[in-house]
Amino acid sequence: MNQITNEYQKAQELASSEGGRVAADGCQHCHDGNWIHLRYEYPDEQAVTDATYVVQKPNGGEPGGEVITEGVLTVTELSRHKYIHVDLGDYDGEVEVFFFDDPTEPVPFEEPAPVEDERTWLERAAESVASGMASGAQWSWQTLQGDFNEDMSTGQIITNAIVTAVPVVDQVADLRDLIANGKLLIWEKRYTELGVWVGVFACLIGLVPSLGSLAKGVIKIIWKNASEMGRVLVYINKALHRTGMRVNGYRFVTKLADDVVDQVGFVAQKFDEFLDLTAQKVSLLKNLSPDIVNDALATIEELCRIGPQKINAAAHAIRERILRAIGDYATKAFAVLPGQSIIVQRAIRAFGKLGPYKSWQRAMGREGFDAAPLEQGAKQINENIEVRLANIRKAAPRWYNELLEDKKLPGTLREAMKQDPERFIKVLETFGSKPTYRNFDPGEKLYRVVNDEKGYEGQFWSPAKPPETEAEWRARDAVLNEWNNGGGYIIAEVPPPPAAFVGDIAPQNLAQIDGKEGYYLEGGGTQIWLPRDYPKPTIKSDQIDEYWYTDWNASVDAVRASRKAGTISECDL
Amino acid sequence: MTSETQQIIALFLHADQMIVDYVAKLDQVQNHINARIENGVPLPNGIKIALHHDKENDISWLRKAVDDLDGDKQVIKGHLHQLRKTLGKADSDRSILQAELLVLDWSTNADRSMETVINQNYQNSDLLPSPPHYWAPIAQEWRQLFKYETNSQDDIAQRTSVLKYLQNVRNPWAGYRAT
Repeated sequence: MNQITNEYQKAQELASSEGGRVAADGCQHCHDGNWIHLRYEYPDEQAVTDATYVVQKPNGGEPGGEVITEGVLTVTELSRHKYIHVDLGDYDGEVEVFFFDDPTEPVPFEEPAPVEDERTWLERAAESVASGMASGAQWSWQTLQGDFNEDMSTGQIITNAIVTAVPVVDQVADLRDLIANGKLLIWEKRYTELGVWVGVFACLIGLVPSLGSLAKGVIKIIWKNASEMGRVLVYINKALHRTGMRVNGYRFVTKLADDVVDQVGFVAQKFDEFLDLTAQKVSLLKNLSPDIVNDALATIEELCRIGPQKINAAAHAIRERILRAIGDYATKAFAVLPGQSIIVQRAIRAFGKLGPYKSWQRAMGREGFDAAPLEQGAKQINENIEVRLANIRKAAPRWYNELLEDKKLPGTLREAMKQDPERFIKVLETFGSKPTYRNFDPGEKLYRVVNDEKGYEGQFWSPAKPPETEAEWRARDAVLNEWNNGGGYIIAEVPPPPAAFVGDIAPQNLAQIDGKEGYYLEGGGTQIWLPRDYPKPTIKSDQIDEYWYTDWNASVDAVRASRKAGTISECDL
Repeated sequence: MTSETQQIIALFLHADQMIVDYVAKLDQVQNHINARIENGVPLPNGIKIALHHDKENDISWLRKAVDDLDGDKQVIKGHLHQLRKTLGKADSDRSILQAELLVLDWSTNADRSMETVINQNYQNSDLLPSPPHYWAPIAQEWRQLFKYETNSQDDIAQRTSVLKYLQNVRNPWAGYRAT
């Protein structure tokens, strides 16, 4: 933030601390309910402008949860506010926020086109397909591709689609697309090409009243370039402000992925109508030889037969493309509590070498790590979690006895249990349910996030490399800041030992840390407990194959998030 | 007040004192390590077996161990502080459940926190017992006393009795209410 902004913020906070109504745009009563403050920025702390944010109910750090609200970030370096204010309505629990990155083109605007009825529109397309055959015009893909390849920006396509209202069946581009694809199918017999059917599908789904040409616009943009997803969402949401229409970009697009499949029957029916009309027009052509007419009619008949199946395939391909675009171009979802503000720093892929190294690297020690802030990935605890924790502890001695009674239990595990029962019961308390056991295959790899070079002496290991973010790792593996700073991980080859206990990880209460009572780490990952080889460590140093930096401890990091208590003077209210 | 309630209060008091004593043991361990670093005094066997393997002559590692033990003492004292605060402010049977968990979980927290200093394999040491073994008497008594399924009628009655004692008879942790 620049100096002016800092001075402004200080003045706001001073006014606030003096108990008077906050000066200028700080709004005290607007902060009575449930809200959060959001900021999204580049690694140099400049604000990302025009990105779309989505706030959802907790979904394990992944987009795809139940959406509470969404919108466009409007903070720029010239803004007097640092954050935008997001009202959560009645929802008073933890939320997660994620972003779609940042288009920069200006918002175009075009006047709505006049509307004509659907039957006439289909008939015009059929007429054009038939007449094109009759004239013997040299159609080619370049001249027929319609607005799948025209020079309209994403902003123009989306804004026009919304502003023109739904359904829009009269636009020249829509008509041209259907004509183009109809000719490719009937005249060039290119009905094995998925792209042609996607084109047909996109044109005809524009006829669905609840989806309209916005659906078509989204499909054609995403089909051409999935990386446009962020831009699509921003323009949908921006166009809403112009029209007052109650459509939300992320929710519309997410639902569209399902709608395209649901509308297969409708689209197939419209395609059938289009083919009927085309067949009628072709039959009436006087200047074509009977052979050409019969060939065209036979092709149309074949298209009638295969149409539903091809349209279904196109719908599923579109669905996959949309879901992939949503998944690939959204950030991770970051947890934040009502009343907090959060800054998410934009993703920059790590170019530093994460590994593998043959030995421990000093920077893996993550010097300067501060354990005091709330654990990333922590959630608010409730009584049900505490009850579950207590019952796990009460069940652990019973699991101990049951495991010992199991005649198939490998001898090395039985020996470890009997050698140190009290410690083993404490181990069992870290499992969310009674663990199972298994023998290792030769050459099997185990993973462990470690603090230091002696981290290989620990008993708890994982079957997979750690996740990409610290929040995911701490939540999944229930690891407190004070236990492990998570700077690196190691990969060991087993056996030995020949066998281990395996099970899900129990939740971890944070009640023992002042200021963190009321939070917990969810657990749920898989842990592998190795039996002791007292007095030596179970895994010997020569079993360590590789040392790696964790993704979040890379020299150039991926997405970072920081949270603090929100103040009323920092937002755009 | 039932004798069971008395036993639970006694267990909590015992746990409180044992945590205090463990912090004193860690002070002693730091003194021994400092003597090794500054004056070359060999580490006692009870400390050697507790530390990570083959580190008793690695002076830079021992310096870091002393620093890490400072942090570990803060974690352990913090755990005690939370237990005392929870009991001092107990106002519902859920508070007692939270105290139960804090008591039983102390050894795991201590063990995991000290992972950079102590090895995870040793069993007994006269100078620095491993947290699970040190805590065994507490854990075993805990399991005998808190034998009911959590949130069952018996369990709630048990916790309610403890709560009433703390609220109406005597609360040894009342001084920690405001902390």
